[in-house]
Amino acid sequence: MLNLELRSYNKVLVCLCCFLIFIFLIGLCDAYKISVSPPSIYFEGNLFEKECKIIMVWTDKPGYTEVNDVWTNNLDNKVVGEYELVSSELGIKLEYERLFYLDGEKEFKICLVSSKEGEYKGALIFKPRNRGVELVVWLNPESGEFVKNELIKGSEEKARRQGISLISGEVVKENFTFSKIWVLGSSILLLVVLLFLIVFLLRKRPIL
Amino acid sequence: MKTLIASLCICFLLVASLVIVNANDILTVEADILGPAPAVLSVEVPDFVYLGNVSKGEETDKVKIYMNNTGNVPILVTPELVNSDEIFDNLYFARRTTDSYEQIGEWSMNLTAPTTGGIESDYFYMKLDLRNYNKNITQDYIGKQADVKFRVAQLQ
Repeated sequence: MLNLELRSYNKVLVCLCCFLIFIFLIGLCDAYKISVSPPSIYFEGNLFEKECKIIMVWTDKPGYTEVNDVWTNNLDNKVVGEYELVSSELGIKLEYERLFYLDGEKEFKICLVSSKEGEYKGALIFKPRNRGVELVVWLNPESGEFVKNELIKGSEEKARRQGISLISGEVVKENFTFSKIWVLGSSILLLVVLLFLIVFLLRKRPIL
Repeated sequence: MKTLIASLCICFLLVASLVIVNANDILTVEADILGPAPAVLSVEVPDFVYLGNVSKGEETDKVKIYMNNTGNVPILVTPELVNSDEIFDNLYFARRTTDSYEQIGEWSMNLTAPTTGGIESDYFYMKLDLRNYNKNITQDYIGKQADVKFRVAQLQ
């Protein structure tokens, strides 16, 4: 009798241990996911002109996220850790939320006013609190026509890679006009042929 | 009578041709033209990694860490210590076991963009190497922790 009771206790203990190990493993496998779009933004406004952009940020686990920006004069530098300039040193005024609570998805607005010309680039860093990841959004305020052209070129290349055709409005319009002319022309031709046929038939009929 | 029939026929044909033209005119064509998908920088990283026990002059076992690129752009991942720590400054990373280990701050890794709608998963190895640690460890530090952040940016 006593043996039976001990055996059932052992079973319960084993089950409890398995459950605890399972919970512990779930804890170890815990991962955090955060996303931003787009990963690079370009400000193309003129001096003293305020320009705003929207960055979409979303996560699977709610929490506070801190944001800060860093800058560099060296356009070839890709190491964010070496960006040591602050925006005010470059005559840039940035407006954005430095701390926000992220629960699901958020439209993050960033506005920039530049008061000095120059070549520089920056990084906007999203730092979720108590999480092991931070995301960098590249900021290229001195973009001008070059970057604009590069962006268009880039989207065309991407579209080509993904097999998506870029259809310009002009081409579609041209096709539409052509089809209209074709329909109208063929209708007139048909009308003329039928008219001739009627006249021919009427001439052939004897007058009563 | 003949003229009347001819006029009626002409009118009929005219109206019929107009109807034909009109019928072609109202043909509505609809299509969803999809532009390039917006670029998304997205990543999934583990929250906690246990490295095990280590003494001065030794190194921990290497720990395999998985990282998922859940966006649609290639990314550069750089681990960094949130606060400098004399012990955890000796964290070393390597992409594969055959690669040489590099110290935290000097190592980074590229992850390619996943195929449309997918996840690109890759891994690397991390270890705590105290073989070149010069200071004395006078007591046990059970559960000593440091925060490592993975800085993720679109690969330029």
